[in-house]
Amino acid sequence: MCPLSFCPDVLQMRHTTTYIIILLSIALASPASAQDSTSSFPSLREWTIVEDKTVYNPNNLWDIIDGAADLFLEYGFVDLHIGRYQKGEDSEIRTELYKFDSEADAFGMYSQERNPEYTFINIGVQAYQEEGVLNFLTGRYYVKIMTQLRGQETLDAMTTIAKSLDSRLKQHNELPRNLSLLPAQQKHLNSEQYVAKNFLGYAFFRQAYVADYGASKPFRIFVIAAESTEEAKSAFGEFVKTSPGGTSDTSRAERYSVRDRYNGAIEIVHKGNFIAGTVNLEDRNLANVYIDDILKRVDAVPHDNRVSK
Amino acid sequence: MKTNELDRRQFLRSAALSGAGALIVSTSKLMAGYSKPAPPTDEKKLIKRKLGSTGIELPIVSMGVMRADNAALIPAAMKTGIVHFDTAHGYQGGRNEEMLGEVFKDYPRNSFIIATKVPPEEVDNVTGLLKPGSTSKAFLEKLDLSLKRLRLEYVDILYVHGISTRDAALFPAMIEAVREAKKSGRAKHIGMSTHKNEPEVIQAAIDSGIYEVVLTALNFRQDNYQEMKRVIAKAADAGIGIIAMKTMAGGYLDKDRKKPINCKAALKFVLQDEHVTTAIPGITNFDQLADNASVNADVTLTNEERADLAAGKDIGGLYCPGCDRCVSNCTKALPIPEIMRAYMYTYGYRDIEMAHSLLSSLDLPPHPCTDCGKCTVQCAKGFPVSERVKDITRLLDVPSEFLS
Repeated sequence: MCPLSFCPDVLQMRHTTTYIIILLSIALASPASAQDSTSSFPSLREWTIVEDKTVYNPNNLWDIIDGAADLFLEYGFVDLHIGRYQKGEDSEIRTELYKFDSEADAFGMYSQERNPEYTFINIGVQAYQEEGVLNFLTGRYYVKIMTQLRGQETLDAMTTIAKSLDSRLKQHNELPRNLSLLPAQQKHLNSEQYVAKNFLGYAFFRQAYVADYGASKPFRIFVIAAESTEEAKSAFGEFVKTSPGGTSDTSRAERYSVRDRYNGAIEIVHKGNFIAGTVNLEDRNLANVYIDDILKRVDAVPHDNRVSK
Repeated sequence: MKTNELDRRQFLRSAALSGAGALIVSTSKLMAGYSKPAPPTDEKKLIKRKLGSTGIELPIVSMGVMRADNAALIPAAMKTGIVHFDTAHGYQGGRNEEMLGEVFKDYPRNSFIIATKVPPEEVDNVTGLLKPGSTSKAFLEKLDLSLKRLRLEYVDILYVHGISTRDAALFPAMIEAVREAKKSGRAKHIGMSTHKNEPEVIQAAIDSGIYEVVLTALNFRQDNYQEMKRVIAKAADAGIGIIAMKTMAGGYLDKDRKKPINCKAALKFVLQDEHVTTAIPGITNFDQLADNASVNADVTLTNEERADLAAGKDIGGLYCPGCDRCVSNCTKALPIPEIMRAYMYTYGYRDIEMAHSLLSSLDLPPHPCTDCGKCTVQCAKGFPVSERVKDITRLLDVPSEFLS
């Protein structure tokens, strides 16, 4: 019996010769090994590793993190491996390895949970450690290490696991390059985020890099890196249509200034495949200074390096 | 190196201080331009239902709060008449609760209903059973941290988060914890949330005589929907309020999230049952908000919406929810949920490459179901497991290059 006979649609799509080759190949074929490098955790002296049999994917992530799964799915969640480092009856350090579609997605999810006030340490792209928690970002992976245990020995063990994993995963350990388009002046340290969808509550704004700014009157600055100029132009147009009554200025790129009914004062510009702007910055002159700064940064990016994420 | 409870309390306190403080600053930035509280528009038109015996009456559509970077959605939702907002201790590492606290500090306390979910400390993810570390004390410490983040003295509804078995539902330490939360005034009403083995958990809530609300997964793709309806009716008779979640059944029909479910139709579907007080769809943009809020005024399913639901349910017959109950019954401990997923990819999505890729990653023995005399697996959904395993694992005989 043909191994594909259970799927008539496929049968019809295959040439007879192909089936002969397939049948001949069956005897020689061994199941492909797609063992992912993340499926096993690094060993740790004096600790036993127990890896969960279940590998969570977009279909069953809710099984383990319930409603929180929705946000992970927005960020291109691929899979989750869980390893438990155990010693004795009660001691356990749980390690969760979340893999995402892209480095930007991994950063996006990490940044959604990162508190700028945490104690940051030097592992992967970035890591932070609080009592019982060590989370870090490395390339496409967001790793969470947690335990109820306390003490220096535990901290050391968690750090060793993190460093070993970072080394083992061999990822590209740099922040998404589009973050460098955000102006540095008055930017709050570690406030940067990548928002994959529904930025400012608008479905047409995707892939936004955003950070907090200002002192007494805080505001935000964002850069959206669309897939194409057409997509950026369309999103810009959608915003103007959705938030009418503002003033336009086309002398320096395509700019629009408006008090958005939901989000407050917005100054926004469209150029090429980028959209950038300020949110809640009432001083329009200052807003334009920031926007000019972003446009200069955008102009400095070679065209073949203009990636959406 | 055992857990030091004192240290843990200190951690919770310091997390409450450093975390909350930092996030208050952060979220205030987000909120600087949002519209201030305004009375709901045309409240008379809203369809409202009573939440069991709690004395709370709610519009049939509420809001699952998923993200902290869109704080402006909350006041916008309030303007539509939505008053009930659902969050959890663990969402975004606490930032979600922080954001709600920042928003609601400007609202009168009696103008909104806040529900949060606090998880037991230690859960066996495979069996769903709670471990001895799930103490009342640990639970209440987490609740206190949630209240600090929310800037509230009490939550309107406190759920034990993610209960999936009767034993977990009736776990003495959790009963003690929620009872104490209510007695001390930290929670007005107490309940459980469940997204697995829901009928069993709802029945346990009825039997407990303690729980007042159950937040349950409920949607048009559930194979046990009729069983759900029956147990929900029993719960309603017992005075337990039922709130629905996961009404959108994942939001998409396919793994690649390219075939969207008609979410408004899916929301209306669960609200046809008048024993369901309200639903908490996750809302992340203003269009979704408008769409969902419109259901508060009209829950009637159109013919087109019925057709969309019927089409969406077809693939449901292939969908394995991954309850894992089959795995322990299988003498070879096969990863049956994953194999069933491969089956769905092939027969539901017609994506043989994806099925092959998944099967190859499972490290299965060759022809895994051929040498068992009688299959010991009992599938909760009634799938003919052995038959499907035999069928789909034949794909492994085909080299992947012939599938591209």
